[in-house]
Amino acid sequence: MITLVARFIAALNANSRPGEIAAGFACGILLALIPFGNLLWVLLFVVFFLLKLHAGTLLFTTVLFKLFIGIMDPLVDFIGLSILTQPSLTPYFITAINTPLLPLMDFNNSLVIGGLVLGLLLWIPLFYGGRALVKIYRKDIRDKLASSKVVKTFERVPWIRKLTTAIRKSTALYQGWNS
Amino acid sequence: MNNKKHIPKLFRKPISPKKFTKQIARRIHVQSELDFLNSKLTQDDHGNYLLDTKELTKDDLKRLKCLSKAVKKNRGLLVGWKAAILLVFLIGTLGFNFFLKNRLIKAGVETYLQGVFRAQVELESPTLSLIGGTLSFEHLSIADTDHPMQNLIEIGRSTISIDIGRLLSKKLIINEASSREIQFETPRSTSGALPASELGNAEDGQLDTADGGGPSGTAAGALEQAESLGIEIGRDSAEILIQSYQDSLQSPDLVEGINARYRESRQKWEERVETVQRQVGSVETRTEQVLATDVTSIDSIKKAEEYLSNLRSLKGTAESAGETAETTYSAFQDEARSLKENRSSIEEAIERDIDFLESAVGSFTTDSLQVVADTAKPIIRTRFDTLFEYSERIGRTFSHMKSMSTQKQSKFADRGRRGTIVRFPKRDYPAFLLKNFELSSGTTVSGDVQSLKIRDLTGDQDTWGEPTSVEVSSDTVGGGMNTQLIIDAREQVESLLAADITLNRVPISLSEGLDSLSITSVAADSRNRIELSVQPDLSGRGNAVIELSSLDFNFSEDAHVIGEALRNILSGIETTEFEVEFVFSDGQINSLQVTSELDQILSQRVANYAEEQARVAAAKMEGAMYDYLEEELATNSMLSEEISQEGRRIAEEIKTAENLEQLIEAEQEQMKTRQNKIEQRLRDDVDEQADTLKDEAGEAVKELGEDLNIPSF
Repeated sequence: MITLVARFIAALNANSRPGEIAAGFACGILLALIPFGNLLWVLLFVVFFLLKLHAGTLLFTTVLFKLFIGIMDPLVDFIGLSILTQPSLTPYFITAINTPLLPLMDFNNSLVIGGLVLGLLLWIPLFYGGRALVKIYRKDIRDKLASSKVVKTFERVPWIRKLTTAIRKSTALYQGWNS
Repeated sequence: MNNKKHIPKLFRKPISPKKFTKQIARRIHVQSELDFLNSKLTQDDHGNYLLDTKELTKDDLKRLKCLSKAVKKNRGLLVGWKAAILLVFLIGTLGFNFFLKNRLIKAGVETYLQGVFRAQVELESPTLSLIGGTLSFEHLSIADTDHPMQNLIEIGRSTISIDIGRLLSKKLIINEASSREIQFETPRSTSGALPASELGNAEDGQLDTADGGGPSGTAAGALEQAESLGIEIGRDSAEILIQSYQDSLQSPDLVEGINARYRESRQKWEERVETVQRQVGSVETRTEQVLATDVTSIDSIKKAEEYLSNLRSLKGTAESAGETAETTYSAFQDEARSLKENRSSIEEAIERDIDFLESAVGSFTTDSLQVVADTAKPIIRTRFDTLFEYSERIGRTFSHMKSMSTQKQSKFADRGRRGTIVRFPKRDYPAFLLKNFELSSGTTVSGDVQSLKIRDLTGDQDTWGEPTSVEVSSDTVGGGMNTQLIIDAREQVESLLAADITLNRVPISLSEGLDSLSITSVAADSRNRIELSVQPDLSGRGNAVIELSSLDFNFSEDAHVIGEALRNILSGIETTEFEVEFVFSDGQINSLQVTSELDQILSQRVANYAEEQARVAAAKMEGAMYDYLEEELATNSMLSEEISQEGRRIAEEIKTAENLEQLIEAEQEQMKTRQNKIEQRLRDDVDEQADTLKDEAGEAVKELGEDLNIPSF
């Protein structure tokens, strides 16, 4: 977990493309919205793995949001049920459920289909919002934060020190945080 | 101061402004890093950017290296190595699919079959689709090793297609299994003998494939070994299966048990009847003795009372013997009733056994597979010792993993997140389904084509929702046959079997078997169409239309009356048409209605014959059904008869006892009358004597009065 956090912070501070981090973030939210243990999740994960997005951010966002995503379940369930019970879509769902392998995607679960649709709808605003935030962070916050007393005090805490070491390892390629 | 070698490659040469903007500055996303780079670069006369190497410190170089790597890393939308993996995978898959796969199949199949048949094998255009689960080829020819200029077999376009998706859910759905234009012993244009070198290779190949396959080490040896193993398993399995079915039958044990009870009961009742007989006999003897007494000899009250007392005692004994006989008879009736119930339970058990055997026919495949598996296990364990152990271990591990995976919730599953599952109608598939099976031999060129088509073959028609249809057709130059069978074993379906059989231009020739009609031979061409509908209880009806043409009857010279009649009836008839409607049950024709030009003459005889045959067949069937129980049932009947005889004997004894009682009672009555008479006589004697005495006393008193001169005398 520390490595994940470190990779995420390193990416924020290093010279990685904001779009990659934002894409990792948006895709992480999408993966967090869809429950584990179905073919759809695995396929999305493999596709995201092949694309050039920040894997650390993707994993960190997925794990972090998985902890709290439960509070969105009523909304996801509502969206999923609305889609699954749409009469015009029923023939397609019947075809899909009778097609080999597709049932393994658990698309008839309201959380899966609702999570997918909500995740896809949120993807574009999350991507652009995330990219803007990274840019703002790097431009206005990063340097101030790095030199703030609070951060320096925190750096003395043992586990924060571990985190910093991990960040340094992760940023070995770039000259980011300590520059 | 700084060697150019230490400077990152990106910054060694002058950088054009366009390249700097598009390929470097755009890929640096931290402003401080961009400022640092700008501070280290200078522009020449052409506006190109140059790195000032003289003022670079070690830290600067390190930072430049990191920047260079970051710039490279931020290039493009795909990660190089990931894209490479994907590309290699795609190229490999496509390359294998388009260039290698079918060639490998062709080479593999040809080599293997050449090893088996030791002759040339040619496989044309094999196509394998792993995703589609299809394997097909256009033509396969296997030469005859003994006759190299002819093929052992030639097979035309053949396909096997399996639903891979359903296979993942452990359901074997064969979409198509077909082989067309199968021909045997066709001529070849080139020799089918294998060259010496290939023959050696083929044998080597066979040695490899028949690894450890017995002393011969050849394919034939391996096949022989497999065959012997199969025979061994099959024989043992059959014995076990038959034994298991026999053990499941109830009636033989029940009959034996009930017969044992009959025997026991017979012995017991023999003893009890003898006891009753002895008792009644004793009473009878005593009665005879008592009744032999001459009643006229009884002349005193005392003797009469003694005699009456004897009679009362005798009556009591007779009553007691009668009661004992009645009690015995009542107990006998109870036991006889119980035995009768047992007898009816035998009939019920026989019915149940017949039902069981009928149902066993349905479940024979499943049972036999299970039994074969159980029987094969120890045999295979002995033969394949270590290999079997390993396979068993793998199986156990797999089962364990499977049970663990089903019992434990996956750690990857989101805990606490349970959405609403919307159930859509899902088509269920049976465990096995053969959607389309086709075999055909011959070609249209030769004019002889035989084909067999089976559709929707499954053991679970209710799940699949379609009946199984079988089509057999044979078209020859001389005629043809087409049979369509629809087997529908689904619940709540009226017709189990529907058949439509058409025979065209079939030559009929009977040279024997009609002697009883004095017909030595019949020849005709026929066109027949038979429609049949069979219900689940094996009853049903059918309709057959038989068109006969070019009829030619030959009668024997010594024809009897019927023969002569037939000769007269049939001579001159060249064509005729029969329409036969028949109804049957239990596989026997119950009624047959023949409509034709010959109706008036033949229908009655044909119907009579069919009815007689049906009766004979039904009787035979019934006889066969009870045949194996015949001896026991005969014993049973005999014992039952003997028991009944015992009952009759008891009844006779009761009657005897009752007769004795009546005799004794009559004797008692007679004796009482006799006693009364004796008493009356005695009273009369006393009265007479008293009167005499009175008279004599009067006389004496009178004489005494006269003697004494008493005035009133």
